[in-house]
Amino acid sequence: MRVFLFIVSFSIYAAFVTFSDNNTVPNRNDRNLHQVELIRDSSTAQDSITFLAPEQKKRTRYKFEINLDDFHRSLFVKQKIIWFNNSSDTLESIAINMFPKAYSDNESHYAIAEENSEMKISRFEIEDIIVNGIPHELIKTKAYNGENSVSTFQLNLLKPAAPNDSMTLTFAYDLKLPENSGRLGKAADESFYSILDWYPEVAVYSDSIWYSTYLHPYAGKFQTFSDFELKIELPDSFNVISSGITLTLDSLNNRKQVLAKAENLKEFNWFVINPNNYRVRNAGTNSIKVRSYLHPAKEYLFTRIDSTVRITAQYLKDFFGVIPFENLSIIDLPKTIRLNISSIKDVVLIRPPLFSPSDVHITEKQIIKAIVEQYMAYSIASNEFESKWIVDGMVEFLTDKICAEILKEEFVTFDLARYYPIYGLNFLMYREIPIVYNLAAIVKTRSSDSYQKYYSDLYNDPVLTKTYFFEDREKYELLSKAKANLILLLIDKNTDSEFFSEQIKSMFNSYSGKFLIEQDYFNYIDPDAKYSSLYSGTEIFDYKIESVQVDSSNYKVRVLRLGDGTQPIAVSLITQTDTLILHHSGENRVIDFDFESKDQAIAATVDLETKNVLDINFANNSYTINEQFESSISLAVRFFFWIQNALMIIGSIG
Amino acid sequence: MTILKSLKLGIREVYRNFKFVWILWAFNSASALVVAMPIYYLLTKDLNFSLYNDRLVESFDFIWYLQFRHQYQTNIGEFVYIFLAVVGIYSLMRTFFLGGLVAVFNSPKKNHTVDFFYGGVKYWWRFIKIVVISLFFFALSFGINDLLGELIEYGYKNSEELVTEMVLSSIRYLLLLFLIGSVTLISDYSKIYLAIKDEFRIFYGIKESLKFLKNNFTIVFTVFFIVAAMGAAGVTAYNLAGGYIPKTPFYFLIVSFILQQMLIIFRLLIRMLFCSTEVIIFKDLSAEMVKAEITEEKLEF
Repeated sequence: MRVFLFIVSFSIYAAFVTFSDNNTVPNRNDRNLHQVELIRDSSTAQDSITFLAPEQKKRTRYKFEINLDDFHRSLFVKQKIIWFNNSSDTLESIAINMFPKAYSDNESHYAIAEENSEMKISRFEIEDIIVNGIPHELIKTKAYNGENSVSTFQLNLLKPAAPNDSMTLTFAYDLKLPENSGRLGKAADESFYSILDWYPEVAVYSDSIWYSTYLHPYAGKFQTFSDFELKIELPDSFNVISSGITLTLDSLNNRKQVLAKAENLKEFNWFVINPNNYRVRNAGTNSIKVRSYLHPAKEYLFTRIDSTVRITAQYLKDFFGVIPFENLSIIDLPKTIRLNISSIKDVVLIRPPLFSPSDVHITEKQIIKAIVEQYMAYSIASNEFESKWIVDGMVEFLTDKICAEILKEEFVTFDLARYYPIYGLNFLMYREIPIVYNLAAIVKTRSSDSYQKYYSDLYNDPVLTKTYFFEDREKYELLSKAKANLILLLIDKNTDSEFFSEQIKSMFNSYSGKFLIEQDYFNYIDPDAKYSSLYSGTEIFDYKIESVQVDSSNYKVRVLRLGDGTQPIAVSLITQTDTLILHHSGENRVIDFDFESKDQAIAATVDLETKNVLDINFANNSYTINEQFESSISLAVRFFFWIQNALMIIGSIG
Repeated sequence: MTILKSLKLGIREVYRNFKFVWILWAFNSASALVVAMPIYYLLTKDLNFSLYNDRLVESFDFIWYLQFRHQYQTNIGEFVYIFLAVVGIYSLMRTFFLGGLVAVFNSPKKNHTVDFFYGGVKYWWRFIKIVVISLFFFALSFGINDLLGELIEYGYKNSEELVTEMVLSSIRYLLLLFLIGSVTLISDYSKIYLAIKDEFRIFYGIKESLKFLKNNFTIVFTVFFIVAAMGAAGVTAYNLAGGYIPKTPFYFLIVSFILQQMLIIFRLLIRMLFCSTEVIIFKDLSAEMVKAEITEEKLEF
């Protein structure tokens, strides 16, 4: 067994050494490279990783040699890009997105939105830019959408790049890492680095346009798949957690070298953590290795995390037929990091509260969402700078679907004194002290978070609005995530659910490792073009049964269209023995339906099964012949009691 | 006076004056009704002719709740102001009732309804002054709580000591409870001093009650704590029992309503018990000691 492990380990090391350049990392002694320690399980050997339908041909290759100076909190990077002109055009320039610049300039879109203080500003000093061995200069340009940007540049080539030509771009730069700025920087407690958007990348060239984009606080990027290799030298006390495979070499003088490699990836991001500050646990199944890093106070979550990963991975494997990762790292993010993403490729980022009851599902939902992102966000490329709703909506939809199917009931809670979850509804709170509240086990309905966001601001832009146009994060969350999710739920409810699932599966299988545009998305999600208008429209849906007039065996049902949105409607008359249904285009403001039945009618309804989830009032979708008081009295009595109690508490002051 | 004896006497006094709880309950219910009726109207409008009525009788529907809240957000926004106005009026009237309770507990033989209202009228203005002063100290308590919160947040801004931060934050709320309890206690005894000593000088009354509390802190605080614990036990018992009452059929609503009102009455009785024990303790421990001297006298016949 030992011999076998040795052979496998040696093979991996050999593969790395062959793949990597011979350049040495600054201040590094080559002799140390000869002893390899495999920190991941040996079964994760390079050749056993199956990437999902990659476009192997002519992907851009990025190679880095990095020296992390923890004392000065900086990275010194030598970067090489081997880029291929995959287009049919001869190009005289190459567009470069300098994302790290976004952190080093107060005028960048990112810095303005995040209100970065001086301490949170990075410094990005670029030393050399060499193209095919010849020094070049970077020239600042506008982003492709015409906006000024501090991070979009172009290299004017001395020798134009003909179709299928390759170019080797070499950069050397210093990146001063800021303090706790979220995506890039070090946590205030010194135990964690978040290193995202840290390197210059070649912009996407498509349809004779260089898609130069800047770093946006909530819009994504426009990237295609590339290959990455990194040699990272860093203090011995830290571990690197990243996408792909990492190998740790022996250490010298309290520093060690880590090799990382990932193929077919849109971007390479990584974290550096001090494992001594965490409880670490290895778990997983035959096909997935899971390593979790949790804050010591949240150790009790290990079992739940393992179980959630196992069940979710199995569910998605059954659904999509593949698992797009073999190793998964789960990191409990430090409190002092303001990172607002839930994953990178192969890494799940969670923020479980100190008290996280199992039937509140906060931790489980974060993990499920991050695993869904492994499929939808990292296996498929799209222009997330403009159309992030494609990924976001699908991630939210699948997350809610999986949660509803594999988790037990989820209960509504509110927080007492910030930390303690209490089951029930809170109506009025002062300084984290509930005043008017109800203690009860209220079950959350599927997608209720999306409903809540949707109702918070109904009069809004269309979902198809370019993501970078949204005026704030709230708008982005509402439209790109909540409403896009509800539209998918609506389609799911109104089509054959199995067919819809098949369409999602087909889309994934056809586009994993490829680029997906809006039209392709609609071809799968809405092949009959019945629901696409929901994405481009701003209409509000609200049909109401206004009255039911009874004349012996004739029933006249009046339906009002209160919203500006129209949809074909089915109006039903429920009788004691039968349900009669009439259909209508639903375009009129007032529509009368005449039913005839010898049986006594009980109620009339429009959209009885609440299939139009965008309808803002389900209660007025039905009208009963006889007035009923039970629920209104029951709820009013409860409310009366809550007020009595609140008066006893507040009214007694003094 | 022992703790047990003061509790016994206090409960006896509450029992003897049980009839006043109905006045307190009626006023509490009437005030709550003012706030609840508009919501009842909205509920009837939304549900009385809807099939959602049946669904909500079975179990609470969270999506319906979200839609209802959105649909009537303007009305619900107004409701907060109606509630605050009712709280203001309730506080004024409660002060009036407290005057009545102090009067009947002070003179056990004069416990007719007319004495209750006479006491209310007699002490109301003095008590209101105390309420205004105590409101300042309540605000101060919340201010201290906020400052402590900011201090903890600042101290742990760069720290991952989550448990320590949580513990300190929780202690902050316990301290807030203690401060509120202390202000309430001082306010209660100041009112009792003004009533029993028939004193008009407010600050003098507060000073004297502080002296009294300082000298008799153990018994005063222990009795206050025990009565508060009795109240908390009642609430816990309600929550345990309330969870077992089925939602359907509809007549279980009556059982639930009776249980709810029993809890409200119980809490009002606890409020009366606070008052009666405080009056008894104050009267007993602040009574002037009269020395009895025995002298021998020869009687000549």
